Amino acid sequence: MAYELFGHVASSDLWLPLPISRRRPSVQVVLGSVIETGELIWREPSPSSFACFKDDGAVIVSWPEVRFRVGFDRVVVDTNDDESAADLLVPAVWSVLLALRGQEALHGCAVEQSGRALAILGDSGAGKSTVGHMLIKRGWRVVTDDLLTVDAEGDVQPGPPFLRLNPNQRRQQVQTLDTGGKVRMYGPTCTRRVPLGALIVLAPEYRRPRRLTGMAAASALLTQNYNPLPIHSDHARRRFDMAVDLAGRVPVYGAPPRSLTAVALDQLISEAFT
Amino acid sequence: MSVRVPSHIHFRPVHDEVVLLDTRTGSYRGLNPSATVIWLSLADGADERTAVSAVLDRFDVSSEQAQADLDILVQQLVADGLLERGDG
Repeated sequence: MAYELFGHVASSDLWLPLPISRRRPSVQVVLGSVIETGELIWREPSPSSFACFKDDGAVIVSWPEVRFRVGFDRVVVDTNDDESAADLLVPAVWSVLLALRGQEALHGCAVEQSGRALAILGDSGAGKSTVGHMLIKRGWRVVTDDLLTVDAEGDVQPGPPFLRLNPNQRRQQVQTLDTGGKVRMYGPTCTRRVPLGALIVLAPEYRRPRRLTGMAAASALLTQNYNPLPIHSDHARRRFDMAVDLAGRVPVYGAPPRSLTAVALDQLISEAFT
Repeated sequence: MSVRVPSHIHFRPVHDEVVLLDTRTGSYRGLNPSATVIWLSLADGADERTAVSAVLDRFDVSSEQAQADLDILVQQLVADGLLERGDG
């Protein structure tokens, strides 16, 4: 089966929760054996117990239940738990593949209306997907969630066709959680790349919603890189250039986490998209 | 004495400011609009007198104030490794 993912087509031995593609695959995802080897570049303690190695041009990303060997056009998956492997492949491991291909990514979701995308960035728990969900209920479409990539033309690449929300404790029915403990909310999706119209960064340093310019805009985006792994020798410069390019090209707003009401969001979108 | 941008410093203008990246450490810093005018002049190879003129063209300050601001800025940037003094 082949899938569309952030501008690439991947053939995959694993079932992935992604749009099916009829285009020729440029990346292969295969099941196989992966061992931890090479230079250790990252290790997180329990509970994630995540580790990352560089080995002969490939990157090995390893969790207790699944290991990946990520190359430029081939990802080997070593697991007995296909569902966890699929959840980790999209988007966490995919960010490593993109980095190997020279494409940096941000941590956020994007929704689209009338041919323009609004991206919402922020740390986990800042309310990115909640804002996205609020807009989906008002006619917007999902472009991507969690991992956000913008191509050289300034277009957001379509990613997973769902938003990942924290489980609603008040809801009575059983909610199925993914590997990250989130509930997937499927809605209308935008499956084509779409011009980015504005970015909102949800972070505690902003007391109220406001437009950011210059260094403040670039700095806000630099704090939202998806992938901190030093995969590439020039990663700092590439991430810097991506942030500065976006800050110069697209209106950037800062807002406190979990703060945006429908009214505030309407005002911000109206200003940004006018 | 002239100053120059070290090879490990990467910089990009955004709006009316410049953002500087130290590629050795990954740390970055911004310059305000007047400091940006000075930086862009010096990074373009201009001497300090030309940089002061560029500030006077853009901002309503006296030449003494512009020179004093430049001296303080250059001193700070050199101390922080973002500029280095050269010959001449």
